[in-house]
Amino acid sequence: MIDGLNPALILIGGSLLALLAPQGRARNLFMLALPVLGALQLWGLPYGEYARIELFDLTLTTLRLDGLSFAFALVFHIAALLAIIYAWRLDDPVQQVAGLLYPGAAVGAVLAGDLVTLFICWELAAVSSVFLIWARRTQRAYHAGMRYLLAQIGSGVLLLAGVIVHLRATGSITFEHLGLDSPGGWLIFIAFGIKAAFPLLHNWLQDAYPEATVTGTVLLSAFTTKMAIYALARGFAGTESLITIGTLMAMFPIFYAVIENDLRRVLAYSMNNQLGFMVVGVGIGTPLGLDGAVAHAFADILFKALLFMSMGAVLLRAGTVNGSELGGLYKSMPLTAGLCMVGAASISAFPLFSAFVTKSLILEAAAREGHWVSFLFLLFASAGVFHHAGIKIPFFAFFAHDSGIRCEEAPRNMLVAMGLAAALCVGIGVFPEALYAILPYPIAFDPYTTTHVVTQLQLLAWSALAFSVLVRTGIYPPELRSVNLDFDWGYRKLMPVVATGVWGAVSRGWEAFNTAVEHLVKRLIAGLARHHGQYGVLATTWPTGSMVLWAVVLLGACLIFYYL
Amino acid sequence: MDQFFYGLVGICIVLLLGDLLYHKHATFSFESWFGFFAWYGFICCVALVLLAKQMRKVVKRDEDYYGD
Repeated sequence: MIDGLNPALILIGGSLLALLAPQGRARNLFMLALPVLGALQLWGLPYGEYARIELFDLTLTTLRLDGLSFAFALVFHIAALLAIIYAWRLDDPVQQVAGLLYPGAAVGAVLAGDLVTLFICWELAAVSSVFLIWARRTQRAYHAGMRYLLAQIGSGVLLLAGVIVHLRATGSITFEHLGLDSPGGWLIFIAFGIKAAFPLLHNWLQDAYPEATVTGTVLLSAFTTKMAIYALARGFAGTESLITIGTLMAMFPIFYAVIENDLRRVLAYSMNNQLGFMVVGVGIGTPLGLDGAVAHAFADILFKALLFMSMGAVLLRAGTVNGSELGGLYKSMPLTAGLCMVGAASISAFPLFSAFVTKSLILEAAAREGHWVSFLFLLFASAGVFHHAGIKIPFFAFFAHDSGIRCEEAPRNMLVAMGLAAALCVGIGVFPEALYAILPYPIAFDPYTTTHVVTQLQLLAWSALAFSVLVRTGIYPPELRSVNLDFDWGYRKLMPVVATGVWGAVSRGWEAFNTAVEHLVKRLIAGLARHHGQYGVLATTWPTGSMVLWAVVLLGACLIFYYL
Repeated sequence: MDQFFYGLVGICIVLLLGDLLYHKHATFSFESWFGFFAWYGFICCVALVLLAKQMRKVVKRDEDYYGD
């Protein structure tokens, strides 16, 4: 442990040094050592504030360690480690550098004690992560990456604007509880909301994540959104509107998840739904609610990584993750199927799996505060998540009808990464005290009461029964090759159409104006030519006689006026 | 597949009847209704699928709708 060294710097610095190591085992081992060293450094640091830097007349606290930041920083290191093992055979320096820089920026963000450091890490995470999408090296991924980057940078710009307003009004850049009433509070809130994928601000997630590389999606699923959950927990804990926002977030994506064909996109919708639970926890704002949000973020990073890793392995081996083209893969990839089902059981909150001991904290917090409407919706969402992530993902990929695809089992390094993630999911489920011990607030909560176990099993078993009945009766909608319109339709279709229309109207108007002016000028020139041109009446030479005539007329007129 | 289905039906019935065997700790009164979590889960999932199916009529487009 080096006194006061920011663990984020180990990952960020290491990302550039990694390129100096020769490609292959040496570079992989070097990369693997970085999150391990980072985690050890994090573990060894006592809670407190370190590494203050004077910048102009601002004091940046680049490292603040407390219960809230510790839990996030720790799980970010674990996620980075899992991704490095998962990508062991990858020979792509772009993804390798981005795969360290991006987690490093995320760790830096959760450890930032001030808003300026947060902003710097916020933007570094945005810029480094887009390369994980572009590394797919297809036109489609390029476009998706651009849209992703616009959303991320947009969030950064709002954050910066909010920080400036806040600084001018309060003279402080300390990142502590802000609330909506604080100066710049709304700007910062929306900046966080974009990254947390609030309803209507969410679509960058489902749009971009499934377009990233096999490893890229695993990495992306871990950091950006959880960084935002951390930031909301730090700055907006107890903000009542977050309960409504979170409930909506938990609800609406599950409908899309049911009809979505791309199984990685199904997981992206399901991620949005899980983020909803965390946002509700933050909105409740009691120690139990906040602990629930942190614990669920911790668990979510692991089971979502596991699920994305299993679908990544399917994409790698079978060449597709479309539900309509898959099925029966358990014959070729039995281990991946088993590990995927551990992830499915974890996200569905089966007893002995991670979400059972983390999501229940949020539901309990909602119940204790009397939020019965949210409670019922979250219960609906819990049944829904089991339905689409717990059953649909493994069912359509590995079982259902046999698609005839025969492929190899996932590579050994991928199985190791998935195995570790699965072990952590089960470990948290079986030994919840270990996770509860690192949460920001001390809690005494026993998830394994008879009531909780029986009611949760009832919810899950009867949801499974509903799925079975619907499939057997043919009511369940088949997986179809299609695109489902979501809010991104607004900027991917409507805005281009409106922009093209407006541009067309403006250019037509301009053309008409030009024609009219040209016509006018031509007429003017023709008129001038007629009167003053070569044969124009005003251009002819006048005889002396006419001058004399006009002089006589004028004199005559003078004479008449004189006599009058 | 049939065996799996009837096995699941059996598990569901056992879990439902399980409500008779212990005292349920409920925060809200509706939680203590008989088999609340069972039938609520079932109804929610059916409603979810039926609504999502209707939603497809509005939101479903060809795969190359966005042209990229």
